[in-house]
Amino acid sequence: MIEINNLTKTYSGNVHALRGVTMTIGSGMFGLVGPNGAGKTSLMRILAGLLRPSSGSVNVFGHDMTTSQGKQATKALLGYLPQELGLYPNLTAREFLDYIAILKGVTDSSTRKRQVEELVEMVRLSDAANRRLKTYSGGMKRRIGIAQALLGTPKLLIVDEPTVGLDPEERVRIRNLLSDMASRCTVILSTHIIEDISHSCNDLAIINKGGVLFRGNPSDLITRARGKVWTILTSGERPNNGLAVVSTLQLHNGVQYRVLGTPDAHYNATPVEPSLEDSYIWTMSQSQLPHQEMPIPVP
Amino acid sequence: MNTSLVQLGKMTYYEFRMHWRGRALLVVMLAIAVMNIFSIWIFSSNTLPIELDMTYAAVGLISAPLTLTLAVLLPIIISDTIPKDQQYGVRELLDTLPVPHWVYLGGKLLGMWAGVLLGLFAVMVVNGIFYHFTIGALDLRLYIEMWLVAGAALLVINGSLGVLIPVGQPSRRRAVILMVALFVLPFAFAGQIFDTASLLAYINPIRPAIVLYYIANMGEQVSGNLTAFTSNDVLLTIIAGLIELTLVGVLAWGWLRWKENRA
Repeated sequence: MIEINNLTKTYSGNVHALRGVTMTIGSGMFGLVGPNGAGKTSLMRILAGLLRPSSGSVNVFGHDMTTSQGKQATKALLGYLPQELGLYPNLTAREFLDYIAILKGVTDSSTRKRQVEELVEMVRLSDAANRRLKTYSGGMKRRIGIAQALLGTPKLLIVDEPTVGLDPEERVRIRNLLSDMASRCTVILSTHIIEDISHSCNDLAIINKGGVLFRGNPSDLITRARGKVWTILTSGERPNNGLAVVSTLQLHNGVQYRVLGTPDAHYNATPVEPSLEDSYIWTMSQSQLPHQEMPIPVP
Repeated sequence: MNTSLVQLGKMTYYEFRMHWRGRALLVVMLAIAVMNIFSIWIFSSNTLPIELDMTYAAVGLISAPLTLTLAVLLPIIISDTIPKDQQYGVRELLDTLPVPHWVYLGGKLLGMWAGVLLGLFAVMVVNGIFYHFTIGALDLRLYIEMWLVAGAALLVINGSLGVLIPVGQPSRRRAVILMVALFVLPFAFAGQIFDTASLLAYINPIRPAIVLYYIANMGEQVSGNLTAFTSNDVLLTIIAGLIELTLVGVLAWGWLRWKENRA
């Protein structure tokens, strides 16, 4: 259980990355979604013990992350994949994983070797595992990043944009892998790829400008946008009047727009069931309306 | 076995491998070996207009490239040992791992020592054999003493300072600039420090007493009195260097700790 209470983080220059974030994260897979600069990475870095909050408290499995002892205790339970993970270019993948495993405290050589082999196989890099990392492509490096995060059977897995740079097939594999891990530990997945969330998370938060816009499960989020998503088939102008266009599809008899909002009657719009992406965009657009209160975070 | 010690051992092993695969160390060792071979070859051509005691001449010849390289070039070459973690983007990951700071610094140091020692041993053997076949038999005791006193002392003191001093530098370039400033600028004051056995000479990062001691054994025969440095000065320089190293080590450890608490 992770408890976050009234968490704020202000960087020099009065930049507010987090503004009073309060939430509880249980076991399973938790999705953290929001645009670039929303505060996701700051929150992840605080949870990983890399960043000290300006105020508020964070408790990870009973360890107070504002204390040095709490951070150290959490490190022993943690698997972490940063947004931009670098690797030692002159080590092979096998050596790098072995190195990280021992630094994670997996001191028994047979256990370490078994874990490394399993993970190399899991991320499908067995054939390239003896090659130096400087010869790896971006996607291969990402997969090694994921493998190292899983070393040492962590109790808390924090992954920041894990599927960036991966091809579609690999993205699905990694998503499934993380979902499998979620049965054994708490996984916090930060991403701005809504598809990753919709396929794997049973619990999520939308964060923007340092605040929580939504907290709940994906179906709750979808409910928010129900009745707000439409398709409009037109050969005329692109729909506007406050409508947010989510997608545009060229058809033989015109252009089909998928829009969010309340279209005028002359558009002859057809209501459709919202996707998680529609709901996310709807929630984001509502938070940006002038003179509107920020939605209250759902506990 | 204690987890920290196992971590230290494995970290040393991988740092050693990375040093050798990074080529810089290979370049340094080749530089020492080639300079020594060149010196011996010039010497063997027997064109010098003076008579020298060959025993002292041998170590004097070989000590010059060795000591100058280890005292000045090595700290610059290996100064990126810690900053490269930041530059490669590994630092953030390392900061989330349960590794004590002393293990991290110790692993970096021991890995560098192991890498350089292996290289020095190889150069010592190759140069010794080359000398033996071009000029004649070496005084092995003196030859090995020179490698141990000058080589090992400079490796431990200046090499370690080269790893520890740039601990707070965010990039390899900044680390190199800092070390160039620290280890090359003192040459500007060479006139005052190279011939003076004083506290300033003992704490000088170039370690003039060690650098000049074995050269002086040959030099005295050439010019009478090249330097005032004695074996006592070498000892005092080593002691002063070890004290500097301890202070820098404590500061580096404190800096990592402070950075962790401040983060």
